Amino acid sequence: MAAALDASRTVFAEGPHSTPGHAQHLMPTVVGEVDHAKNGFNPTEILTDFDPGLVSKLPNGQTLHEYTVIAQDTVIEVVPGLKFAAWTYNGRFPGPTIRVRQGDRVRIKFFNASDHEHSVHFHGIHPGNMDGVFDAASGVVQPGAKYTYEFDAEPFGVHLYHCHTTPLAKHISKGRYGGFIIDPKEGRPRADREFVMVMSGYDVDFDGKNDFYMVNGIPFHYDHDKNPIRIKVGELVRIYLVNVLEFDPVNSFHLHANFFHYYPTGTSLTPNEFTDTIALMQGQRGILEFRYKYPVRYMFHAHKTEFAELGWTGVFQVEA
Amino acid sequence: MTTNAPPVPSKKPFLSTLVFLLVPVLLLAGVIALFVFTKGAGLNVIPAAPIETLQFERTILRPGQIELHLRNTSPQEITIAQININDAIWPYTISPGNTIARLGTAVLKHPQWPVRRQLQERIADRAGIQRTYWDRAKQRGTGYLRLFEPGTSLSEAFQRESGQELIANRHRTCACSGRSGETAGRRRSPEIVGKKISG
Repeated sequence: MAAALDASRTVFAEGPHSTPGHAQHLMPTVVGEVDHAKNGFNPTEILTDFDPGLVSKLPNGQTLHEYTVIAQDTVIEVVPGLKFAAWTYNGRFPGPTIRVRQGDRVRIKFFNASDHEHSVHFHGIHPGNMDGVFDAASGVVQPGAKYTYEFDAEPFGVHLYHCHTTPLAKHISKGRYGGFIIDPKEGRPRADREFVMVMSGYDVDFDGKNDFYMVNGIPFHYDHDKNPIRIKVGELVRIYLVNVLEFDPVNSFHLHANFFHYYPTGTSLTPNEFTDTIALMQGQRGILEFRYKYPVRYMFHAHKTEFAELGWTGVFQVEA
Repeated sequence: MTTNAPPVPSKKPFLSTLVFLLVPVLLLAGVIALFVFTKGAGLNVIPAAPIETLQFERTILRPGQIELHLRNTSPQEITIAQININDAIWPYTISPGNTIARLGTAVLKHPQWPVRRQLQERIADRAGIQRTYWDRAKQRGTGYLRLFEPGTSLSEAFQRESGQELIANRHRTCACSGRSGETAGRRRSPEIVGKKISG
């Protein structure tokens, strides 16, 4: 930057006061809203668009879920006016939320439509040639090529998938990741509302540090004056929370004026914690369940508060 | 004592004069040749990205508001997308518009000045490049600027948090450089705070 705030050019002056009274405490946020239609995805829809894929039955009676996943180079408006050269799965941030049941067959037809080699590496239990790490035989795909990953879904829980080609930090931070939910064979107890939240960040100047933080792709999207998440008093809310944040060692989730039951990795039907704040390193994930006792609006955000003021914040609008 | 001996004319051989004449010419020719044969020593290389400079020509701190007077001195227009103050994204207004033409000016206002010790601004433009400037005084380790929300006891808060002597001289001088500042300096001096600037 070629300029600095020079004390000799700094003037302290009286009013006018532009603080908008006491009606609304001013909070960090962006000015305006991104063009969701142009981006090709909307974080409000991503919350609930669990994707079962194309479902059919195999001759042995096993349920088959088929997906087509395309690695694309996509320009995304991450905050109003600022565009980011992202690497996405199916053009969205995060990629499709793959949701199946334990023991189902998962078939991912992966096409690499970008200029670099890419892969899909699933967290879960599967054969080595479906791991997407070392070479073409294990699912690393050259530009213009394709590969089919196929495995039985296990164990049940909330997982993730991401590109595993090098340089890994760049591939992940530029956007190649998504949520992967495996429900227990008999399903989970019914919840009134289910949401997926994938926590990540944007390094828009490529200096290895995040400039913005968010859940589901767009900083500040679920903010109180933008697109708060609407729920009702007493509803059982279940959140599938995944942390993919690159560069920063720890991310977190804090729920205001409430406590939640926490299921680490979602691999047990019994919660192991009742809290209002959890910390997750990259790749960690879990399931949160809670009900709101009182109406009005409540924040949820990273309790690394710097992240919150750079975009990882949102609001539950709780209706009576 | 005097002498009547005629002055001896100094001997300046023609060859010596010629050498002194040619040396600078030859040196200049050498430099020109070097410049030509090294393709301008890299001056012909087109920079990968335009050099963008945004000058903060004037900063006016009001209770609850900071006002930045900006000038774009870079080779092409700059568009302000969002602003970052002390690692937080804040709302702002800018007039006449977000895009500042080459050598054009704009006035950017934050509706609230966060209470922080360090003054840092980042302005991210549509190219996705962040620009940072620091309070120059802070960089020299000589002081920083603060402004509190209306209603806060400025002097008490300042002294409590900084433990520094409360003075207004430097900033009062600054305030007096502008019309509104004159008013501020005379009537509201308790709100003009700053660590003593020694540099």
